Amino acid sequence: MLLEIKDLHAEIEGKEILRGINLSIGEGEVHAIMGPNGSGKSTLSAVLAGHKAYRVTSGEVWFKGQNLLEMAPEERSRAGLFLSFQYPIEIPGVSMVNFMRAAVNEHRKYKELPALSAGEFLKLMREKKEIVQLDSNLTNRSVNEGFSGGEKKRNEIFQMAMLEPSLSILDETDSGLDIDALRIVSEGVNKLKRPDNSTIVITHYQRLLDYIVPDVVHVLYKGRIVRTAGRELVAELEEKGYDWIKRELGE
Amino acid sequence: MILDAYISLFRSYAKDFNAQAPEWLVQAREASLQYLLRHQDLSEADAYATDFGLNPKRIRPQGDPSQLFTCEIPGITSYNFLVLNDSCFAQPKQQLPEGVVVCALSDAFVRYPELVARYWGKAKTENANWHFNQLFAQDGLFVYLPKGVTLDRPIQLVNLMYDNQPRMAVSHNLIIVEDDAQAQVLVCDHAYGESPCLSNRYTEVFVGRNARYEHYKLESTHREMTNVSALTLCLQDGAEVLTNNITLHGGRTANDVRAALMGEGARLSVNGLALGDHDQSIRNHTCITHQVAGSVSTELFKYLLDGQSQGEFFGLVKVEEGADRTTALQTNRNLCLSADARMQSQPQLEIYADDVQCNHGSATGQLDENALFYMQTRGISEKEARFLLMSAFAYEVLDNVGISAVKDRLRWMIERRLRGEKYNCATCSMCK
Repeated sequence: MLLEIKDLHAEIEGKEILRGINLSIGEGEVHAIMGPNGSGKSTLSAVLAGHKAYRVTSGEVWFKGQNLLEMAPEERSRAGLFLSFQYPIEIPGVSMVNFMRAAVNEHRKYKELPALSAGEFLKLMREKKEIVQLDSNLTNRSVNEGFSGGEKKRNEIFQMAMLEPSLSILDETDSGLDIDALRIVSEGVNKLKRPDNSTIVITHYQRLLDYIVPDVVHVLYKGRIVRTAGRELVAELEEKGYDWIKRELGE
Repeated sequence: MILDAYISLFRSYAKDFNAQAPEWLVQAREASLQYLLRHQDLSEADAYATDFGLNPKRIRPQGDPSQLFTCEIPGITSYNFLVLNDSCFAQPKQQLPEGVVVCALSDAFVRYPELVARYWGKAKTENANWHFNQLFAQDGLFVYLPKGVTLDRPIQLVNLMYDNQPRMAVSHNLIIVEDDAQAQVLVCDHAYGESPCLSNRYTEVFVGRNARYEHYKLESTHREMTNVSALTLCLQDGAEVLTNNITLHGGRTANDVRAALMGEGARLSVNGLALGDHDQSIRNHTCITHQVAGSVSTELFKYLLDGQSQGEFFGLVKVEEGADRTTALQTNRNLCLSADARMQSQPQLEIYADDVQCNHGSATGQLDENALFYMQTRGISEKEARFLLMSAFAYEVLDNVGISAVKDRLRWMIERRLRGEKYNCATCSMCK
């Protein structure tokens, strides 16, 4: 298993959000996590990425055989975990180039590879920008500063392309995207697909999953995975909403 | 009273202190004595309580002072001058362009008495710092650029505190840039030794019509140093002035910048960057007066404070009656990196004119946790992420450095400083 989550409980400011998540993801699989607002989807991605505002109260997470919860966020990244932020952060004064070069070289150091020369690095940037058709001017600017909503999301997938993670978590990557941008971003994700890397797609809507087709679909509700099925579940949710699941749970 | 000891010292050695002073200065010093007896508005006043030695007889150090210190900024060629404690020395064999004078103030008293007399004190602010300086300053740098002359390279003035006893140094720089002339001055404050020392240095600058002047001051001294400096500027019509005070290492620093925009269309940019740690204290006070219509001033001051360091920014912008169509923008941004670091910021605007565009903004905070986390999720260590954020914050001030070799060197120094690495100014091994 690439990722194994066992009975994960987590809270923020004393409020329990995740109440016993169990999830296993194998190599090459695409999992969708859906669920109504406030069900804990973004909390799950933040906990997996290592955000310190969240406290894990019990449970285990194993990533490539390593105890993920004991690792710092940067160690998780270097080990191959990537989070595409729902709201990417603006970092005034730090150029995209310096930011990405620092990140890529940290990853290379972890893999015991030499740092890239300036020329090699710029060549790599050019190649990867193509994947999401990221405007060249954007990489000359400060990280996400003044980027439109769509540009920020493309920039997330560009970073994913640069870092070549084995597990990518796309947290509502479709939010704030128009239909063209959605297509470009999801095509970018599909181009990056390899038989050995996996993706968790967190979304409210079916439309992203029309492009990035999941193998497994989970419904998260009140901090638990209450249903797991194949991709046919997406259409069912789209048609019936979440209420029928709530009813089945006796609410 | 704190200054009593110094006042009686002056009285005992009045003959020595006045040895090279012209008659008008001897008289002015009498007035300064009277002022200091009545007023105590001195910056870092309590630092004067230490029993510092002064050098009334101007005893020269042994050896060749120009060999004591060589500041080597890669890629810079400049006219080099050294103020060793209280005495000015020129690097030998420097050929200045025709008509340009750069020399020791003590020489200028003798060779250019009328010029000195015409400008001395004309840009002063009446306070104890000024009078203390006037009383004790026997030397400093004198710069005169005649009309229309552009100096081909910067003037570099190194102020070096050098003693193994508690020592005070007082110096006075007088810089005259006539109409349409252009000059850049880089002042580097350094200190050698571990004993407490205090410097009181006053710089008066007169910038003529359509003249351009840039003034950079870098402090890299040590924790026992109290560095009091004043820079006063007078700008005539269309004059353009840029100043930047960078404080990297020091004990107590008090920089006072006062500028009078006296001419229409004058443009002024006043900047500062302070990096504090341990128990460093760094004050920057600025006072910009717009006296006539249609002048522009911008200010950018940034502080990065760690340890138990304390920062202070007081910035007054005064738009006088009749100074319509003034533009004045003042920005002060500060980062407190530790729980014990303290910042005090006081922006002030006084406007007595119409149709002005004036703005001030001040913000003090911590490093952005969300930005740190974002960078970490890309594999960047927390330490490196902090470094990237801090340097981005600091480098903005370096946009206002017009000598590229100096800018590159400052980036290098700031990077080392923020990474906690040791560095020194090239061949100099004095700075801690």
